[in-house]
Amino acid sequence: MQPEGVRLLADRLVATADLADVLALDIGRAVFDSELASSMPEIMRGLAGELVQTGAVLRGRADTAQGLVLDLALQTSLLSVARSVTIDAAACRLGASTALGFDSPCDPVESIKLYTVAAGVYIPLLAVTGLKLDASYMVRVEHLHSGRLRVTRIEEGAFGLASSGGMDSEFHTGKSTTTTGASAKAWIEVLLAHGTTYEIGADELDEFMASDLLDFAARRFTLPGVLGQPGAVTGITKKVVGVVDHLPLWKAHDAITALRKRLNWTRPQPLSQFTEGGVTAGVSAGAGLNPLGPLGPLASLVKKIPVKGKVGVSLNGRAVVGVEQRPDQKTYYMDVRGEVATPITYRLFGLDLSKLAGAELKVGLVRDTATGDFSRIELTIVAEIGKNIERHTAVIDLRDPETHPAAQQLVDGLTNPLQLPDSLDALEKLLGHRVTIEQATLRRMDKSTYGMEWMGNGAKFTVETLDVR
Amino acid sequence: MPTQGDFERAAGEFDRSAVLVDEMFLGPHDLLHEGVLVGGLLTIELSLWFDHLRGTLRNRADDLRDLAATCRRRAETCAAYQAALGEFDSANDVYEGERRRWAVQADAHALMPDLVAAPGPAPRRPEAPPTPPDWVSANSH
Repeated sequence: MQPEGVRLLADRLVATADLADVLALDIGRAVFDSELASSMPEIMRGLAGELVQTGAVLRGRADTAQGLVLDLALQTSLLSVARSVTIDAAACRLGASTALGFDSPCDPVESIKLYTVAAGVYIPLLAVTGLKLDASYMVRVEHLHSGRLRVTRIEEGAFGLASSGGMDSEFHTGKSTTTTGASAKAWIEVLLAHGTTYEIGADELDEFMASDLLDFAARRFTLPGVLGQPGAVTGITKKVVGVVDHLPLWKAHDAITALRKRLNWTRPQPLSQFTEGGVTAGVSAGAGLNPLGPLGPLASLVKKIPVKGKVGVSLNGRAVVGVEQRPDQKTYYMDVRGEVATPITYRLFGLDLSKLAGAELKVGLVRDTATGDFSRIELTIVAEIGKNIERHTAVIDLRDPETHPAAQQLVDGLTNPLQLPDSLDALEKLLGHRVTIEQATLRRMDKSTYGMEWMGNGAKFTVETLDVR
Repeated sequence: MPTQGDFERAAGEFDRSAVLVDEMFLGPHDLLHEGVLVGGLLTIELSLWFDHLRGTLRNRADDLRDLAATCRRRAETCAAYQAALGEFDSANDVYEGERRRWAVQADAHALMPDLVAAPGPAPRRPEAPPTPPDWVSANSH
């Protein structure tokens, strides 16, 4: 131990701290003059404080002639000095693409859960033709990195014509589907969908669901007499909750608790709302497979093992135009998607051999509400193969002076069908520069369906889990 | 808004500070390496720590040099805008004079077309310089 040397070092560190303090002032003045953003003055002040602290620790060490190398106070002090001059990497990247799709790069989506209740009716009119009506209620729950939830409720209705031959039925029980009979179908429908997105706390999902379903019921069904009065549903719910709470055998405590909380829970203001309309069409053909044929001799054994299958193919497409509204902007978009599914589905011991491929293209034009100017174009391409979903988004900033002429040409072209070829040229120019690209990979981790279908009639409840990588 | 002078002054200050930050830890570093402590784990540990700190401070000095470069670029933009604005003002003065003369001749021609010749095409207003970025101030100092 060399106390004098340690003391000298301690003094030199304190002198360096004085220099850091002076620099904090000088740099602060330059930052003030230039109006640039910089954390350097704070860094210098922090460094000065830590150096004084380290100097004191070293001096104390010299005074007590301490020879210990494993000195916690000194280690902590040295670490603090090192930390004070280190600038953490930015936690997220903010830019022109901040407000789309997987909205916030600062709080990215980590997983998604989709809850869907869907029902369909087929009314035969002629020999093989009839009316088809479909409705669905979907809740999309995005789990954000911060623990908060972004929830989107989507209501969709479709009405059209269908042609159907054969006879089949399907029973969905979680991950297993039992198919009997054979049929071929084709349909075309006009659809209308409306969605609203909210952001809620991690523990508010039950309240949101209960509140939303009660509101949905209140909106959809015309309640007779006194039941139709404002607040009547809430009043009845209160009574139902009270009665059910007293039933000793009733164990649905979660649902009841959620309902009870719902009565005192206020839903936040929506982040965004969209309305879209378009056409959906598709064809499908399939037949239930019995474990016979080559397996015939093993029929008795097969009856004891879970073999369920279906041979079939399904193609469907959907094209919509819509408007999404946020407080500060409006997006006009066109969304086209197609899907080819299950040339063969066969489940053996729970192993899913089905195949699925899909693609989606969405083009959006974003307009600032305050200025009325178009600010950017968003292009999203989604490719789905099996359980993997690849999502690519390109954002073109229209306010950039370099891109402005081509952007204006594109906007003119999109609003005037006669100028469409010009707008394609403009798009090509725009893609050449100033494009922000984002990419996300999703993987379908789990899908369970409950319900039944019989010749186009039926109801299903589906829960799907996706992980974002 | 900062002026060209503000940006130039800030650039100088950032550059000067960058040099000082670069050299800030030279004193303790050299003292240690001059042999004020000889041998022992503490010497090794402090030596490693001083080296690490010098490297980090070098990065911070580079950040300051980046700020200085930004200030210099902005000062140049301010100067260019100021010059363009000056040229525009001169051209505009000339234009105003020509426009007044043209208006007088046009009025006279309208009253006495046989005595006063037609004034010809009206003078064209000079083009204003393009809108500068938000941070540009029109004041030079």
